[in-house]
Amino acid sequence: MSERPAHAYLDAGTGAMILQVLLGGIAGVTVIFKLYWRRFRTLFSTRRGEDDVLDTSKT
Amino acid sequence: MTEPYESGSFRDRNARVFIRDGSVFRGLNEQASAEWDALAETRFFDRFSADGRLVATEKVDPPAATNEAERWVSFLRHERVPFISYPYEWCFGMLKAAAVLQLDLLLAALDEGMILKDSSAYNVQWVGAEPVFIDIASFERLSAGSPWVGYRQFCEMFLCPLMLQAYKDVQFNAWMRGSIDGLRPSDCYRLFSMRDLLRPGVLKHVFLQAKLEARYADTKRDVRDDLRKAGFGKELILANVKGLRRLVARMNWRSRESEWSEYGDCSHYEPVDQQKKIDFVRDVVSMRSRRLVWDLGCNTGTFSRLAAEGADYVVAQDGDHLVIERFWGSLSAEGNRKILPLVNNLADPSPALAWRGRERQALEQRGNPDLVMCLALIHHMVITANVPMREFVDWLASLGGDLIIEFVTKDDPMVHTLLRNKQDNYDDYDLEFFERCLAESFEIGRREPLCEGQRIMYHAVARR
Repeated sequence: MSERPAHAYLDAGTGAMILQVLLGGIAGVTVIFKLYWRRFRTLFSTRRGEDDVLDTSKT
Repeated sequence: MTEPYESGSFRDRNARVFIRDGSVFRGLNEQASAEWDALAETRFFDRFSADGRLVATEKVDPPAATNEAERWVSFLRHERVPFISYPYEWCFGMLKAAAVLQLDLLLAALDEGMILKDSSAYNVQWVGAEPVFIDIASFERLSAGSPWVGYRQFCEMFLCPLMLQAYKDVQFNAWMRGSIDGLRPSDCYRLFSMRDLLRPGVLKHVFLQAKLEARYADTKRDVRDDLRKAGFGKELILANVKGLRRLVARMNWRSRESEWSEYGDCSHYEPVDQQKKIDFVRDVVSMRSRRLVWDLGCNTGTFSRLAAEGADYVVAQDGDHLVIERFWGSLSAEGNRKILPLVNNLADPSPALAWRGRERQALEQRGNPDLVMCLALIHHMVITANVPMREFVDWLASLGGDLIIEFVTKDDPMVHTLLRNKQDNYDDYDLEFFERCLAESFEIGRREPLCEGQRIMYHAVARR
């Protein structure tokens, strides 16, 4: 497997990509945890961090 | 002069298909070439190509006298599919088989570090009743941490249409023809009831997807990048694809009967008339070489099979979905590669669609038949569908081939049935008028009455 960014012409759909994590079974749980981890950390950080992927507030 | 590209091949910029001297070529740019090199080395590519599930493909030198060599780094040549068809012309079983093929290819590709970058149902074609995947350029090496980009499209093009028919008994053809991208989970969700949420796969792939799609529609983040950093891996894709494979394999359309499913081909004939009809068709088919035969209103396919004995390829069409479902089922069980059954209402045949009205070809543009069979059909076209007699005969003539047509006179009990609730304004439904219309566009070769003159078989030769 390579580390190239995929240049697919097709729009994967944000919701669909997130759903894949939820459908991913046990392996998905780890990913969910890591996605949320940043959000958890920014709550305690004094720096203004980037908004987390699962933050739905419109910027 | 630039090569005229296949009008349906443009969405992927990395590769384009063009037809030249009757062969199908695909030009690949640098990236697509690299993907092809990787694909050609896999074991699954050989396996699927050997049993015909992947279209036969080879790398070739640039076709002679083309300036495309400047644009493309390498070229592939594909075996040509005998007759192009589209998902809105397939029966339930065909769309399901195409979905299963798509998923099997995905599983095999993932096993060797590759993936399919899209999931369009238009990437599957047919050789007879057997599905074949034709979009070779859709394969690419799997990027670490990348999700399955084609998942949403798989739901739109395959899963939701199949669910519509399996769970709601609503045929997907009209929707697939009307919507180039298929049936979106959000629309599918609105068509379903609370009870349907309990059906296999609906909660996950329809309800959840519709909700998540709506919730994250405006996000500006690069979610793919975030997923990659969070360690998204192949195992998640595999879990999902395997789940879908199990789900689709279990889906069935249970329809007990339809308007024409119980009719059969033989119910209205005495054995001696049935035999005369069979002999007539067999004789005409074998008169000359028939590359392509169309059987219009094929019903159970008795005469399609007869034609296939003497012809290279038969496209059997009927407006009744259940009838085609059953016919395809029996063709598929025997691995038939000569007869392609399609759902097609002849009073409303597939038109040209999508981008510039050329991306998807009208039925008549995909290959002229050498012989058209129109058995026990004309009364339905003129009386039931109200198509004027002369226009129907003209349309048959426009197809360019010879014709076997069975005229069903007004004495016939079936015509009485068709007229029972209608006012008989069908002055043009007259034997003499029919023969005149026929003679305008054809040379009438042979004429044989059946059923004591209630039905008459004609062999009409196209005027060349």
